Amino acid sequence: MKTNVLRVLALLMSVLLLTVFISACSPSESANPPANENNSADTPDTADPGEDTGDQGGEVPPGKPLEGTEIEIMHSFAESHPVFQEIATKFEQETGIKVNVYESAVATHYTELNERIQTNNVPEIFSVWPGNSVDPYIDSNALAVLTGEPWVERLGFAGAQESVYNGETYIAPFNTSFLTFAYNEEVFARNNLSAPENYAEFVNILETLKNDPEISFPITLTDNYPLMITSILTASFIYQFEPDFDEKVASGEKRFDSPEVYEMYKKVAIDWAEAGYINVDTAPSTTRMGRELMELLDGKTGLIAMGSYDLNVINEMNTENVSLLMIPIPSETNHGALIAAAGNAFAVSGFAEGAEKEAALLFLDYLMNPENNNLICKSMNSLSTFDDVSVDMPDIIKNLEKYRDNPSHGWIVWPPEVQNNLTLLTDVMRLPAGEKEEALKATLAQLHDIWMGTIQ
Amino acid sequence: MKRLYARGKLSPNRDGARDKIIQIVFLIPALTIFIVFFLYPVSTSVMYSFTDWNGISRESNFIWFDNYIEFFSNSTIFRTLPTTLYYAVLNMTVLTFGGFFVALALNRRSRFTPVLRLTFFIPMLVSGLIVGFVFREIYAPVLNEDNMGIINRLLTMVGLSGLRGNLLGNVNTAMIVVVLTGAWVQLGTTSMIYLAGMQIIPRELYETAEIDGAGYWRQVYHITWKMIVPSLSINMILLLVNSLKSYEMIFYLTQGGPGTATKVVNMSVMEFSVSAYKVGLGCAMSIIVALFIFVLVTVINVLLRRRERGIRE
Repeated sequence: MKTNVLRVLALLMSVLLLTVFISACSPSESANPPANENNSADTPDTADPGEDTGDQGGEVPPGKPLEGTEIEIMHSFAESHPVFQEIATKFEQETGIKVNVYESAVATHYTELNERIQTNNVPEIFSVWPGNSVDPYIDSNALAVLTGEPWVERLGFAGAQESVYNGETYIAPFNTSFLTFAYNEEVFARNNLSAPENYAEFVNILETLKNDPEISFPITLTDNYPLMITSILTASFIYQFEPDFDEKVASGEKRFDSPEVYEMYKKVAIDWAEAGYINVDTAPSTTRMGRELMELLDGKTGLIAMGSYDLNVINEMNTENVSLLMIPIPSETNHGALIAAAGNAFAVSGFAEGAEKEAALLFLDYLMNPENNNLICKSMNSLSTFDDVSVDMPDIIKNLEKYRDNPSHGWIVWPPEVQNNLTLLTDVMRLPAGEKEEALKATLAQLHDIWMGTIQ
Repeated sequence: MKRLYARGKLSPNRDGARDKIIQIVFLIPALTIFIVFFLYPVSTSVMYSFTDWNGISRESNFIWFDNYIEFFSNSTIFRTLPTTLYYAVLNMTVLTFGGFFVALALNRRSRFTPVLRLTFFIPMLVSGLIVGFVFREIYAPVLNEDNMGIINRLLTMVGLSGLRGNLLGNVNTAMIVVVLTGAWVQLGTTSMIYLAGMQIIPRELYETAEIDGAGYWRQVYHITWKMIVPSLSINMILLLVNSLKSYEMIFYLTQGGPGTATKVVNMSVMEFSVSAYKVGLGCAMSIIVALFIFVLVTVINVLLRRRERGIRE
């Protein structure tokens, strides 16, 4: 009897387990995204765009506004989440359209988005990073065409360039990210230096700092050194003279290892190391931003190569007694430019239809208006993509705004395979002096082949 | 019992059938887990490996063996194979012998032995990412006299400043450092497997050898080493599989650099699947790696079995 009871229990347990596994593993089309503590209050109850959503879906009834429509915006900007919620609340009060703001984790943003695309649960608006990663979404019909939307004509240079794919606007860039240099004002003052106006002055600063006994090396670089440095300086030179460098390489009109490009890389990858401006031993390093930044804050180095993202690191550190300023990247003949690009953007789901799509476009327009765009950019310590928006930013980057109109931005759209393989340049830097030049030529030729390989 | 059969209440056949049903019922949970978490993902990967799916689109095209051909024709991918093998060979060598000597030490009876065993085993419980993060700080290069990693600091303290350097940033040292870090993690498991083998060796063998005049190292070689061949086989197979599958610790330590000095094949898989949106190619790469592991493990298994049989005979 006892044995039979146990057998029946075992049978029941097995059936229960099986049911749990099957239900857990079967895709649920109406599944909500995982809620977390921060946004549990506004966890979306998103309807499947493909489903009939009653009076909220389908065509907008004539004469009836979009009031009562519910849409979702998915973003991965933790620091700006309260701002998005605030804007969404204001929008709901003005239009009656409810916007659920969902914050995804930055590391898994695309993974989660892709999963939701596969399960017919796509948010009406979601954030994307401009550049190569947008193409597959366009190819997959996951992005709605935004050409002709009211905010498009207000976009500045970087935003206008990078929102267009195959002649159509697909994304709405709202802030500008950039790579450039920050310097320690105290170190500069000690050496009677001021911000450089061109490349010659920049090199002069490095030479002066090299002789300052209190500092280790004139310039410190963040991790992924070759990627950063080639991006920052070389691209600045390349795009000053060849604004359409990408198109020319892609069409076979120009080689990546052409003599001009070689000269530009040589300056940084060979000459700087030989001159002692950088620490070759730490150059191909994986040390994190914090370690190098401490060098700058301690006055052990004069300059650091950094991007807008790194400003958040600075904000988290004690910089009260240190004055840092960011400068544009010096080019051959002038102040140069920012290696600037559209930093973050929103896209409207290509699967959204009817009232939801209308509401999403309306909300996107609302997000891009100067007042709201200002709020968002300020929360990110970032420049706007719109020329008519001047963000109230910290002094460290305030002076960069005037260079925004003339950004040098091409490297962002280099094929990912090329960007990933820029690390091959580390091998060149660590070779004996006599072998570097040949190795650099070979590496650039290899990068050209990789670029061409991505086209085929 | 016979009376029960005779009454027809319980026949050997009915009992056997019921037992089979019960066996099947008990198998269902494990089978479900196997199907859902292994068979289904593997078969889906095989299916995607023949498509150009980008990981986003709801549609994909069947492209036959194009992804497999690209694996062998793309120099960026193919270059990671020798690096992966180099890592696997180094890792297996260090751990096979390192684990053996640690197990020898732990096999001695002392009141500290349990603590030592635990100490060696703890790193195995730490996530590869955390290991990478911590060791990257330990190996950090010299930025200046105030700012350097622990290894460089120790070298400075003992007057060996000339040996300081960027261990992870140097093509010549990066792989060795990565292997040693991995060994720190896996040493516990490897030595525990050896230890289990050592503890079943009859003490009489050592006593006899001692009477015959065999010294300690002769006993270690002729008795211990030869008697733990089954443990050696298990260790080598596990080490081979783990080495060829390595990813997260190496990624966090060096991100495959400097250059491509430590870029193993799984980094390429991630790069193509996630960064380049070529999930089909990523799946094909995973399958090739899995087949490669399967073939290597089979070969090693056959060779080790032969050796085991030879020793037994």
